[in-house]
Amino acid sequence: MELSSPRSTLRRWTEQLRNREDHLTVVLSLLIGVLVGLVVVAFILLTGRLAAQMYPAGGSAWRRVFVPVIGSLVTGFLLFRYFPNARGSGIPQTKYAIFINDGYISLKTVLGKFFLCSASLASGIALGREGPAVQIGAGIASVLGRRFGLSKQSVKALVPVGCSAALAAAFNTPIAAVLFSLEEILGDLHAPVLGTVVISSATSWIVLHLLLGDEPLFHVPAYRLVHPVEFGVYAILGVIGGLGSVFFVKLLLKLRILFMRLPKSTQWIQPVAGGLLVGLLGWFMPEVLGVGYDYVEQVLGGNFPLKTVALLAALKIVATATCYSSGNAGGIFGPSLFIGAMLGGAVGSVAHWLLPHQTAGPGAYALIGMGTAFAGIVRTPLTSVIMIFELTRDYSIIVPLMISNLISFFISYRLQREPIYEALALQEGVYLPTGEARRGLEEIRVGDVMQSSATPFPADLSVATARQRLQEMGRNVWLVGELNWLYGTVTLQRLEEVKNQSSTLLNQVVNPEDRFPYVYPDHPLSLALERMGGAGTDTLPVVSRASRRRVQGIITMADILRTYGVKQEEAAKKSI
Amino acid sequence: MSASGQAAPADSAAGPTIALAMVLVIIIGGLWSLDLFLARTDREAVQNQANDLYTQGAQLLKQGDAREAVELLRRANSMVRDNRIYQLDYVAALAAARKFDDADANLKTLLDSDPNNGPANLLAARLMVQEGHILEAESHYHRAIYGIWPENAAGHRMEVRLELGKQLASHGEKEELLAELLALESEAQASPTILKQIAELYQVAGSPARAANVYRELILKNPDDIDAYEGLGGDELALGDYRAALAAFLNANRRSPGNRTIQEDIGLLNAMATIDPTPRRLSSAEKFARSANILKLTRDALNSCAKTEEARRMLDDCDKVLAEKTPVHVTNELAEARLALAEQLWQARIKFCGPSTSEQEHTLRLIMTKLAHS
Repeated sequence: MELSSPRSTLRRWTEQLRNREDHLTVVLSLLIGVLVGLVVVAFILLTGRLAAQMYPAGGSAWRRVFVPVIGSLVTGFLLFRYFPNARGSGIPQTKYAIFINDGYISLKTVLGKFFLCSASLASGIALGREGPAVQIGAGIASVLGRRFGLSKQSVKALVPVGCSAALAAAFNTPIAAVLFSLEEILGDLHAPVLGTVVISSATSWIVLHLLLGDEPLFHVPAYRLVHPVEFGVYAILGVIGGLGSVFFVKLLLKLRILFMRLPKSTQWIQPVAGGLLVGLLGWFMPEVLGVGYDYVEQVLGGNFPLKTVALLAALKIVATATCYSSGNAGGIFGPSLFIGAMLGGAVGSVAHWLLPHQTAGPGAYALIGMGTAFAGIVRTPLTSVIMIFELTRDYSIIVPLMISNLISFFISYRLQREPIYEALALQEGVYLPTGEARRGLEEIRVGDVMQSSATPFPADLSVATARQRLQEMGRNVWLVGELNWLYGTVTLQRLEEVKNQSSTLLNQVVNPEDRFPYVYPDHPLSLALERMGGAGTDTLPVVSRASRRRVQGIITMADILRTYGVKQEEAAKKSI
Repeated sequence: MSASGQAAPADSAAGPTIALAMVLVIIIGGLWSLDLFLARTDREAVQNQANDLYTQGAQLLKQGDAREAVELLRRANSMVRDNRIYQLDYVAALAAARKFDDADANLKTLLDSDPNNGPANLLAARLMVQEGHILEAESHYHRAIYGIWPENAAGHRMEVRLELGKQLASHGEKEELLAELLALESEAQASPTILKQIAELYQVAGSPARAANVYRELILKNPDDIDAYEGLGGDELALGDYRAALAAFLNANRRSPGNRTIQEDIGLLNAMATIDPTPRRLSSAEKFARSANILKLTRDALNSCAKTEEARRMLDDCDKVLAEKTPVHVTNELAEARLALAEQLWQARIKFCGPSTSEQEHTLRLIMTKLAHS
């Protein structure tokens, strides 16, 4: 046996990987997890160090006005001049990359996002680091995918892998990161990239833990449900959280339209509006500056006056909306948690004042408030529940969290139909498919559309008769057997192949052991279409979940097209 | 931000090459080093800042400014989350600022993660005491006793048990107190200061004999220990052995001649010696005279506070006895009868007027206690 050198082994291994794109994707997911984890940790630490330099302990109050102004001026100019795609949160831009640009995000955008966002956030701009981290992660995945020569489709599939790695490291929430990538970025919880998304999230999280240790983002005292009456208070919190979220989203979108109407030549200086506002607010209330996680933790500990938290909720909504809409670099994840914590704290303070023996301390409500604002603003109810759980590692809050989040989500959905990222994209003239829209289509099931009056050909029918009947019906496939014992299906093509043997019976042509395409009544229409495409047929038997030999009906291409509002003639013309 | 601003370029044809892998390894290595450097710098800066805040906060807490201390310690604690000293002092500050809910919640979190932490359990016990939950406090004191201490575990355990003893004493839990003291004494390679506290607590627990033993032990270790002589004198007094008590007080007085307290104790014992009807050396006549005196003193004590009909009747009966002429040949039985009546009057005095606490009745009180035990 010939011994190969390590170099040739490596070359052979890389060659094999290149030939097997699916294997390469898995390996890349690991690599992306490591790389994104390292980059996001550097991003967090660098931002923290920069902020410490800009706001030294005991520094004078004027810094709180001038640093955000100068920060937004410098980063605003650089964003305008060199990195236009690094503006804003990073989530809509990541979705553009997936749905419009075949997963393409340039290295330049990644670098711009990293450095400018770090500077912008350190200067005190009231935005968050998580959205930008997601774009950085997606960008790294995109660059790596391209460098490794993956197809466009595979590069596209790697983008959510980068997102989940980034969010796992930025928030220290590996499960929520996976859910967010599927629920928000892809809008599909059953996306086939689940495995790779999990791999990258876990890898990135491990890197984070190796470097920064095992600490949740927020440390909260252990809270518990004191009395069932608290469920009512949590429901009220859900309503207030929902209304607050809607107000924030509408304000942000309106302000953004105002800024977009200004002359394009002013775009480089627009971020200063956000910097100036946050600076002036920060002069009086320093907690408004930056993402404000320190103060959130203080509020979660139950240590705050009511007036302060109520005022901070209002000021942060205005500050974040202005900072974002004026074009600063930064996200809205962090601020939404801040706003939620303040709203929750305010509600909790009032509740605890009114019902001191029936309610937990206000900190518990601040905790749930974070989830309500996140669910209402970002509109990912499942992610928000898991995220708050992971952020705090407090299991006792799960049920109140679910109640509040769902109420907030529902109110937000009713009062602001477009989720924030889709609405922001629409302002850019881009229509992104929302998870809700996709779910709407997926909600139509085969059972809703199928014809339940199909009669299979008897198995002892002659091939010639079957061919004739099939031609009369205008179909290229039909069922063989009985309603309660489906033998299989026979295609026109197969009947054409045996047309010279006119005395042959169908049971001699169709083998019941052969696999045949079918769908269940609860399958989505998209799957029926997929299976028809795969089999090259225009009709599928709809069979029972109890036995695939029991026919419940048929579904045809015409049925599906009609459901989607396409006339068959039009479809035929288009195909010509 | 433009959706169409980025045109998707043509796929790079370059596959995974060794060069690319090497570049990635270098990038990962570089980033890892950068992250380690940044993390270390960050940790140091945060640690320094937290340390400054902690020092200021702890100082304020010592000075009694708990409200200001809470804020500084909270910030220190949120910066460095795994520092038990910061955590404990933060909880202590919260308790001192009477923010019991917050203190409870923070302490619960701490104990959830480290249930055997001795200092944390001691803090929890003190918090429970402040909140008036003595049972829970007792449980935390025990966890503190058997918990883990970062240093000098034996010394801390003894101090905690002693503190628990004082709490039990203040709540009148005599049996539990006695159990703790026995455990404490058996474990104790204690300093004289702790032994003296143990002896005092024995007395509270109603065991002056054990207290006297501890004092004797102390005297053996240091024959010039004035406090030990004084304590021993007090315990012998409680046990009714006035002679031993007087001997102990005289020993104390010899070593501290100007001590007024000791002299008062000696005075008290001398006074008792003049009225005590129990010594065997007394003649029958002397015993009878002292018994009559005791009866008169108890009558006055009852008369000074009790105004009920029953008390009046008892006083009348007593007056009749006191009015009787002294027989020529007095017997011990006559003396005993007067003492029995005196005891009845004393019990009535306690019943109608509550336990005697006045300084004037101190001598009588001691005599009556002795009579009750004899």
